[in-house]
Amino acid sequence: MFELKGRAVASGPLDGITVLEFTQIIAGPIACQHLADMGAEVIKVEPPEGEPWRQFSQFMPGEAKFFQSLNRGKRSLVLALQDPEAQAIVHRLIPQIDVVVVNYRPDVPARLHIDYDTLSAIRPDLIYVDNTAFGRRGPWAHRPGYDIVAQAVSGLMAGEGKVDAQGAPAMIRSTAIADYGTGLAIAWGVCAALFHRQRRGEGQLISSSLLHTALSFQGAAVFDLPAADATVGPRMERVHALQAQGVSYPEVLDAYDPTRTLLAGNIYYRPYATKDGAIAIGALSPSLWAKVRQAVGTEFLGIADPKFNPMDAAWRANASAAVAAVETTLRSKTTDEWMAIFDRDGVPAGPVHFAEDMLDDPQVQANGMIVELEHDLSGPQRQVGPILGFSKTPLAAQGASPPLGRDSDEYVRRAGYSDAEIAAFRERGVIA
Amino acid sequence: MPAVGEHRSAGPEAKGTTMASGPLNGVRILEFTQIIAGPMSCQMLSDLGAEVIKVEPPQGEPWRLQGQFVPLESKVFQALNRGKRSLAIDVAQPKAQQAIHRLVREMDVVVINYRPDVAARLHIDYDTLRPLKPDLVYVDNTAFGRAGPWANRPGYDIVVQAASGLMSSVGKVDEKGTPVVPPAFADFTTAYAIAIGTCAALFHRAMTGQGQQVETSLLINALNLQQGQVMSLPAADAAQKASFMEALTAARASGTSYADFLKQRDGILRAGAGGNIYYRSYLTQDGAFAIGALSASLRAKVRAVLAVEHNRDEPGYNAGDPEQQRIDLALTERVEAMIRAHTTAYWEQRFEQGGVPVSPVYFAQELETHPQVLANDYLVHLEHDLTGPQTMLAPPWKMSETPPAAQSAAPPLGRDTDAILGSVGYSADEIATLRADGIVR
Repeated sequence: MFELKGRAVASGPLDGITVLEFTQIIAGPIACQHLADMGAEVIKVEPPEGEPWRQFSQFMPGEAKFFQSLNRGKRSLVLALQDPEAQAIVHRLIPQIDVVVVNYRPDVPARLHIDYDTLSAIRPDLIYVDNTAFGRRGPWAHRPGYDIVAQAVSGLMAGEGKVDAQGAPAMIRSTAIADYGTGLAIAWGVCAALFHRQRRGEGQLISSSLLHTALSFQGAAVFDLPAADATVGPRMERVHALQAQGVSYPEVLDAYDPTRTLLAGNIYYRPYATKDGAIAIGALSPSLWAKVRQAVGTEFLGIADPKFNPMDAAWRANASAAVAAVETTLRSKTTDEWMAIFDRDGVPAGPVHFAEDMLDDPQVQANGMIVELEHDLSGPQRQVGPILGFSKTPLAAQGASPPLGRDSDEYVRRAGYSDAEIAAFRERGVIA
Repeated sequence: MPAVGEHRSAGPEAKGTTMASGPLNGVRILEFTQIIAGPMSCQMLSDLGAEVIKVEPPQGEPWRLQGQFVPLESKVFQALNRGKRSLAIDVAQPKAQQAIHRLVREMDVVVINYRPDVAARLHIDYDTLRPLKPDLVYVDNTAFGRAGPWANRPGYDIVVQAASGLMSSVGKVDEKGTPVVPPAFADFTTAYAIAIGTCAALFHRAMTGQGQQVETSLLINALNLQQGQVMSLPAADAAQKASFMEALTAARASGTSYADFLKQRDGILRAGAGGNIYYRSYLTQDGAFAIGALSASLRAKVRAVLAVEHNRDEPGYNAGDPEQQRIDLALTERVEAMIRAHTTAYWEQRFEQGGVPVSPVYFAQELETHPQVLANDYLVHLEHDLTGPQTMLAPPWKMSETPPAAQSAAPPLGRDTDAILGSVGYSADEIATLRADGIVR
C-alpha cells in the first residue's frame, strides 16, 4: 500500500470504504473531505490542468489556499475523462470502489460514461451521489449554477435583506452557504446509504442539489401553513405588485420585510457596538430576556411586551427611543467589561471575533478543533479539523491535500494496468 | 422488542404517519433538544425513516412558544419537528428519569443538546445510559465544545456567529455601526453534522456491533464554514495575515470602532475586490440578479455577453496593482450602468443564452410556485393534527432504493406520552399518577 506522506492511520467509522470523487470548487470537495475525515479513502479525479479551484488565487503553480482547505486527506488521480481509455480506467477501478460522488450538469455523466446506470452495471451495490445545482429535472436543470446563483434563486439573498450603497442586493459573503451545506448533505447521504447497504446489501443512487439545500435553510419561509399565514399572502401580493411596477429593489425589500430597517424593539437577540468593538447577545426565552434587562439596566420590554406591535407607528417611535438608549448603554463599556457582566448574569453573549483570530483562540484550542498538517509541496499548515468527535472511531484529518496527480500511477496500476501501459497513457495525455 | 415502534403505525395518535421508507427505517431515536440545531437534525433523521421521540418539558420547548399562532404551536416549531412523536415529561424529576432509563433500553440513538454539565445532572449522560444499552449511539452537541473556558457558557446561533468570526466575515454594519446578523448558519450546519455523525456511527455499529459517543458543537461547524479564513498556511499567507493580525491588535488597543476597523480589514484582506464584474449581484431597471462566473472560460462568456474587454485572464494580471484597480473600477461602473438600463428578464435571457450562471434574486416565499421547485418535487403536503394543512420542503436529497419522506407534521405537545410510556410497561394508573404529579403531560 502506497504510503501517504503525513497520513495518519485511518481510524474513523468509514475506515475501509473507498470513494471516487468527480467534483470541483466547494460542495463536492468539502463533502468528500468530510468522508476522508471519517476514515474513507478518497480518490479525487481531476483533469490534467487540475480542477478550477487549484487555479483560483494560486500561491504556487497548481496550489491555492482555498483548494487545500477543501481537499485534505485525499489522493489525486489525473484522468482526461473525454478520452475513452480514461473512461475504461474508471470502469476497471469501479469494482474496488464503494461510493462515487459526481457533481456535473445532468447530461455530463452519461456523456463521460460515468453515470449511475453505467457504473452500477459494473458494481451493483455501488452508492452513487449525483449532485446538481438545481435538480435533475425542470426548466433550470441544465443551467450552470454556483453558490451565488443558488443564493439568488433560493431566496437566501433576498432573505438576507441587505443592500449595498447603490441598492443592489448584498450576497451572503461570510461563507458559500449553499455549497458548504450541500457538502454536509452529501456526506450525510453517503453514511445513511452505507448503513442501508450494510444491513440489506443494496446500493443506490442519491441525488442532491444546491437549490434544495439552500431552501432547507429557510424551512420556515418556504413553508405554507394556512393556519398561521394570515399576513404572508397579502405581503407577497404587495411584493409582486411592486415588482410588476418595476420599482427599485430596496423598495421591494421594504415591502417584503417592513421591519427590515428598524430593529423593531428587539434588544435581546442582536449585535451591539461597544466602546472598543462589538458584542452579540442571543437571548431567546422570557427568562433570558429578564436577565438581559437586568444586565443592561433597562425597563424596556420590547418583544417581551404583551402590547408589542411594530406595525403601529406610535409604538415604534417609543421603541426606537428605548432601543437607542440601550445601544448608548452598550457603547459606554468595553467588550470585556460587558462580557464580565453577561457572564455574571447568565446572558448568552459573545464578542464579535474575526475568523483569522480563531486558530489560537483558547476555546478552540481546548477542544482540539484545529489540526496541524504538512503539505507535500507547500509545507506546514493549520486548519479547522473534523467537525465530529467519535469516542470509538475517532475522526482525523488524514493528510494535507494532494499535489495534482500525485497518486495517478498507483491507482491505474490498481485497476490492473501494466507499467508499460501506464507509460503509454502518460505519453498520450490520458493520465498525468 | 420493537414495542415503541409498534405504536407508530397502529395508534390514532400517529395521524398522518406514512410507512417509513428511508434507510433508517427501524432505527429509534430519543431527542433531548430544542430551538434549531438539534430539532432540525432529528427531523432530517425522521425523514430518513427513523422513529424520533422528542422529549419536551411539560410546558413545551422554547421554540413552541416563539410566535404562537395557537397555544403551544408556532410556525418555526412546526418547520423543524415534523414526523416526530412528542413525550412531554419533566426530566428534572427522578421518576421521569426512571421512565427515560426504561425507554433508553429500546433506543438506538440519543441526541442531546445541553450545556456540558446538564446531562449528568439529569442522569441522561453517556456514562449513565451506556450500561442500560451498551451499543447506544449517543450524539452530544454543545455550543462551544465540552472543554475550555467557554464550555459552560450559554450559546445560541448569534453568539457563536460572533465568537466564530462568521459575523465579522459578513463585514456589514448598520447605519449606527452595529454588526448585522446573518441567518442561523451555525445552527443549520450543526444539524447536518449531527445527522452525518448519527448515520456514520450507525454504519459502524452495523459493521462491528459497537456503539459510541459522538460530539460536535456550533463553534466547530461555524469555523468549518470559514476554513479558508481560519486556516493558517504560511507558504500562502505571506505578510497579509500578519499585517491583519497586527492591525487588529492595534485597533483593539486604541479602541477603534468595529465599523472603522472593518474598513481597515477590507483594505488589507480584500484589496482589489471592488473591481469584480464576474461574481456578484447587479441592479437592473426593475429588480436584481446575480451571476456566478468562477473560471476563465465563464469569465470570457460574461465579457462576450456584455461586449466588454478586460485583461482579467491575461498573463500578468494583478488585482492588487493600483493602476489595475483603476481599470477594474472604471469597468465595474460602466457595466453597472449598462445593466441598470435593461430589465432583469432581459439580462437573464442574455446571460442564460451566453452560458453564464445567472438567476434573478427571488424571495423564499415565491419558491413554492417556482417551476424548478415543482419539477423536482421539492415540496411535500402534510396535515397537522391541530392546525390543518401545510406545505413544506421535502427531505434535502432523494434515494433510489430507500426514498426519504416527511413522515407526518410536527406533533402537538405530549401527543404520544401515554403510548410511549405504555410501550415500556407503565400502566394507565401509573401514567395518570405521573400526570397528576405534573411529571408528564
